[in-house]
Amino acid sequence: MRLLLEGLHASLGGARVLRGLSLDMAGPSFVGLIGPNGAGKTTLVRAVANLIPFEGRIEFGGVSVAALPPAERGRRIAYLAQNADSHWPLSVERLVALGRLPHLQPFRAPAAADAAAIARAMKSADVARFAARDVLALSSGERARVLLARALAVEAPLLLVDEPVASLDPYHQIGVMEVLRAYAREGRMVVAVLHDLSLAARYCDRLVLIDNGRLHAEGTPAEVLTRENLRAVYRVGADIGGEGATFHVTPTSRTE
Amino acid sequence: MNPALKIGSLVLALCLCAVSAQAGARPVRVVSMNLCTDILALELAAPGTVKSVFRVAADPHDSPVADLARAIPLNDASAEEILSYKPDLVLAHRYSSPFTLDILRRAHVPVLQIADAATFDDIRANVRRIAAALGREKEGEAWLAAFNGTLAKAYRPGGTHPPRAVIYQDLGGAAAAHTILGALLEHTGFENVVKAEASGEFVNLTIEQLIDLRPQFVAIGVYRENEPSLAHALLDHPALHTYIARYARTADLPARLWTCGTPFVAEVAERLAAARDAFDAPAPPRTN
Amino acid sequence: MRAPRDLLINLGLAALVALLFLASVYVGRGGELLTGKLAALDATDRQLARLILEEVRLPRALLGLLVGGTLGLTGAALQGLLRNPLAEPGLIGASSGAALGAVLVFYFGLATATLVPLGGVAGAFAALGILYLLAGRNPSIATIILAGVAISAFASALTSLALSLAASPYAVYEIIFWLLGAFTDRSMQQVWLVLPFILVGGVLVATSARGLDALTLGEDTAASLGFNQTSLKLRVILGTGLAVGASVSVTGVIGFVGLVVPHLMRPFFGHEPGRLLLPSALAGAALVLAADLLVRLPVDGPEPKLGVVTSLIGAPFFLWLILRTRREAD
Repeated sequence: MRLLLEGLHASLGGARVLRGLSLDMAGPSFVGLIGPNGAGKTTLVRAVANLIPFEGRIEFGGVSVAALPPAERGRRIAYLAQNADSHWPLSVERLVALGRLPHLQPFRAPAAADAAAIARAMKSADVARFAARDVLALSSGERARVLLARALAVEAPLLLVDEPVASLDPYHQIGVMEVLRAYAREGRMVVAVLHDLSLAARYCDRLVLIDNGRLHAEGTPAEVLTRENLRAVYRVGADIGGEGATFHVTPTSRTE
Repeated sequence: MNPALKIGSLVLALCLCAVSAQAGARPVRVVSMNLCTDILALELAAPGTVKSVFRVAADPHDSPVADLARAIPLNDASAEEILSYKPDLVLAHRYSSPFTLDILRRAHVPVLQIADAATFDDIRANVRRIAAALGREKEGEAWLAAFNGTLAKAYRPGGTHPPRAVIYQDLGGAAAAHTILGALLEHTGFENVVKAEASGEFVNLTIEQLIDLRPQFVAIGVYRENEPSLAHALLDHPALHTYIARYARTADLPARLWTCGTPFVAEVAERLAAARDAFDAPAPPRTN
Repeated sequence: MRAPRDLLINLGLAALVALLFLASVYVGRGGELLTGKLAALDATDRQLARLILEEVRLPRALLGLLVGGTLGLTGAALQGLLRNPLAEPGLIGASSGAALGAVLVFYFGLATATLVPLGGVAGAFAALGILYLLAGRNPSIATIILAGVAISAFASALTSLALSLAASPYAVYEIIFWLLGAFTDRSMQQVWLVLPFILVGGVLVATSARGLDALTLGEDTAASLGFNQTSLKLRVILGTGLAVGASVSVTGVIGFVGLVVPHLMRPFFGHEPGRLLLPSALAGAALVLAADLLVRLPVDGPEPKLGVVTSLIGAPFFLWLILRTRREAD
């Protein structure tokens, strides 16, 4: 299981966002993708999901993602968009079931394996209790977990999540991070775009810090989250302390 | 079903129609599905041979032959109704529903379509076509002779300064020159002030334009006088009323006589001729 | 899983459609039954009864089935594609284009039972072509709606222009009545003419069901689930254009069915667009067949136009739906 990016270039509305980004990561892992606003984090995960045109090479498991047939890519790479939401008031269970779409055979009803995957995803994200409720009637924290369950239900070896905890309270933030970590522990790769550096440091196995469309640093949280990196990339001074589950980063001042 | 077979049966149907027309057998189960053919059929056909006419034919507002139509079953111009009379001839208008006509042709029913008449010759041709189809040429010629006679009596020469006239009508607009009403105006010695060679039969004329044209004679085509309509409201416009009262003569022309170009338009000619004669009478119209 | 329940309701709808189809064949003006007519006819006239059955009633019922099914199916599909509960098959401009094409045939005095539908199909294709040129290869939902509205407005304006310039008042009445929508006196010839377009269009739309389900989560997520967005939009819009354009070209404009039917089905099937396609097609067919039976009931006078009746039923229902939704929101 290896995610390989080489010389990645991509533009957004005519402006270059990714400028020759290269990255090579292996193994089951929970990867935090961090960097300031406009660094290219969202563009990067969208390129990996093959949602936007790009130059360069993206390989997952030794295969170019652009060359995969759409359904096969759908089975290998799951994607949870930033501010994802449901346009129709589906029940929680039906919404989570949408994650099985890449696995369905044409003109066949869903198989037992699909039902099992849906049940697992709802259990992991702790939404099985309100399986029958209308997803649009849930609180935003509950809804975020339901949408996460939808992405988990794909059971893809690579899960890309874009700012999954951005609008959640601490209780739900911790809940989502735990679910993602557990998913990675089952032998998969999770790449999550994160802004909360302390959360990223505490839950992720590795962090990727990008700046201005290029890789700035890659490694364990302690290797990446140094005062020098934070000053150079985020232009802030920070108080960094603790270790393991108590590791924290508190930005304290702007530096120019 | 096989389309080739369908086309084949259609061709066969057309041949059969042609054959039966050549055989010259008089149709005895005639159904008419349009007011204009209703009028001609009811006037020309042998008694009892017209089995059904379009529902409007029995309405005295629309039809000059309402009394004749009253005893005959009315239809709504749908194929099923028409077929249930087992017709050996169907009379239709050029603009009758192409879908209905198509079904009738597929059912091997001979269909005769006639177009609107814009001239007296069109009227004569339509009468002769229907009379021939009904095997009633003699009756057709007799009717036309009466028509020609009435028309001839209503003829008034225009002279050097024919009165300027307009026919304004209830359904909106003024009659153009190349319509049957235009022909009637000219025939009775008026000058139609509407010169525009518009594509339609009626030229939409605002009241201001109408007054600008200074007509000396304003004929009103009256249709269902007592039922409100926007077009009728226009005819009630005070400006038009005042203009007619002060500067023009007027006459009513009931719509049932002219909506279809049939020999009944001769009665319109009579009314117009009477109005024309009034212009030669000594006392001109004054305000009252 | 609710699959068995879905199947049961769909079978019920199919039975209703079959019943209404039979009624459409056997019930005539004023509720008169064809069996009575048959019994009253002697041996020589049985041929006539068969003729009425096969060349008048059967094509009418078949068109009710096909056109109603088309309107229901494409209405549900477009609401799913555009993620808008107000979308209806007329939105992408194909029906206005078809209406214009058919009206032009009337206008130039070429109206025959073959040329009117052919003109309509040509008009629908022209409208779809312009939509494609306006919206480009992978248009956003907003672009599709805006371009569709513009094309519809333009085609309607041209239709009105043709009406106001028409040569004869009889031509005007024919055009107006045609535009109001009716199945009266259509024959098997028109059924054969529209059938291929409706079948191809229907298959294109029906096979998009899962892609439409995926669109519930937005275009990016749908793409990440393996559904090519360009081909999904192309399939649904081309399929809708073909099927609805062909329908309109034979029957005129039949309003509100495509808009209302998916809403009727949602209480039973939920909101997943893909799951709504089959029941909406069935319910659309049932609704149009029922409305076509209703217009035959008056014994005397002109037959009310089908398009008028569907709108008369559809509009108040829609108001009720809005009120109910608002009450639920309060």
